[in-house]
Amino acid sequence: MGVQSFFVLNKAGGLIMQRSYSDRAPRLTQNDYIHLASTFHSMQLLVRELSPVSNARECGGIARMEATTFRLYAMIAATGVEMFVTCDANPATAPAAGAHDRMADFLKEAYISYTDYVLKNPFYEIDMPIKSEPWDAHLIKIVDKYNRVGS
Amino acid sequence: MAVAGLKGKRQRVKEAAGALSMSKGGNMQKLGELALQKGERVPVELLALTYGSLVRQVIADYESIEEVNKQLDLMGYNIGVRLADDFFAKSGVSDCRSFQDSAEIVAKVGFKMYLNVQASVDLWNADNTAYSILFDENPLAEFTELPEEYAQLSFSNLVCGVIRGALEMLLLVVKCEFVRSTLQGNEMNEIRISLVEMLRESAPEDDED
Repeated sequence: MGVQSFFVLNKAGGLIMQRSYSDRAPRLTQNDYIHLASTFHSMQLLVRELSPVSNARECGGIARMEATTFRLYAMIAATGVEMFVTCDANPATAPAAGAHDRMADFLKEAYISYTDYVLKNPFYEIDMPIKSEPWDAHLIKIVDKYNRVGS
Repeated sequence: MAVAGLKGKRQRVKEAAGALSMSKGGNMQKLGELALQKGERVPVELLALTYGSLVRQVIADYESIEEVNKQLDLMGYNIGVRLADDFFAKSGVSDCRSFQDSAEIVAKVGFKMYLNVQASVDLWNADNTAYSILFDENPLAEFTELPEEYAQLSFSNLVCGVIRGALEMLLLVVKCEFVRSTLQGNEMNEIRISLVEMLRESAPEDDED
C-alpha cells in the first residue's frame, strides 16, 4: 500500500517531524503542515474528552480515519508523543483485509525507531524539531517494507 | 540495554518471587522477561565498570558527596525522560495511568528489562502515596566497596533519577531516594518513591521550552 505522509507531534501538539514518501502525497508549505498537525492534535484531545471512558488518558484517541481518497492511522504514546501516517485508498494500491493491523504495526515500528534514533541522540532536545539523517534513512526502509507487503 | 544475568542465586530468588506474586504481578513479570529477551544486552562487567568510572569522575569533579548524589540524580533524570518512550515502545506495557500502577510496572517490568534485576514492591504507606522497591542484587555495584570517607555516597543514585524522570513523563512528580543499600551494609537495597503531585494533562508544563 502506498504510504504517503508521516507526521510526528510532541505532547503540546507541535509538529516536530514530517516526511512525504509518495508522489501522490500533497505538497504543502511547512507552515501548512504545522497547521494540519496542530489541528489534528486538537481533534485528538476533543475525541479523548468525548470518550465515554471517564479517564481521558485511557482512551487512545483517534486510531484510524477513512476518507474516499486516503486513510489515516494514528497513535499516541503514554508519554504524549503522537504519530500519524496517511496512505492510499486507491483500489489498485489500497490495503486489503488485515491492513489496519499492518499500519498499526508500521506506527509501532516507527515509534521504536524514534526511541532508538532520536531519543538516544544526546544532542537531541526533547520536543524540538527532529533532524536526523540516520532516522530518515531507517524510516525509508520501514516505508519500503510496508509498501512491499501491501502490493 | 539489559545486563546479562548471573545465574545461581539470582535464579532461585526469581523463582521464589515468581511463586509468591499474584496474577497481575505475574503478568508484569512475564512482560519484563520478554522485553529483557528481546533487547540488546551488554555484559554485566562492562556496565559495572563503566558506571563505576562515571561515579569516580563525578566525585573528582564535585567537592561534596551531597553534590555528587545530586549530580547522579540529575544525570539519571535526563536519561529517564528519554527512556520512558523507549520503555513503552519495547516493553509491551501500553499505559501507566496511576501512581499505584506505576509501582508494579517500574519494579516488575522496568527493573527486569533494563537491569535484569528481580525487584518487588512493598511498604505502601496508608494513603497509597509512597512505596518502596526492594531488590537484593545491584548490577551497578557488583564490584563496589564503599570507602569510609564516602559513606554518605548514594552510589546508584542514577537509578533514582531515571525513575523520577520516566515517571515525570507520565505526569507523576515523585521524590525518589535510596533508603537502604547493600553497599552500606544493609541486607537489601530499598528505593523509596513518594508521590509529590500529579500534573494535569490539559496544561503542558513545558509549553514554553
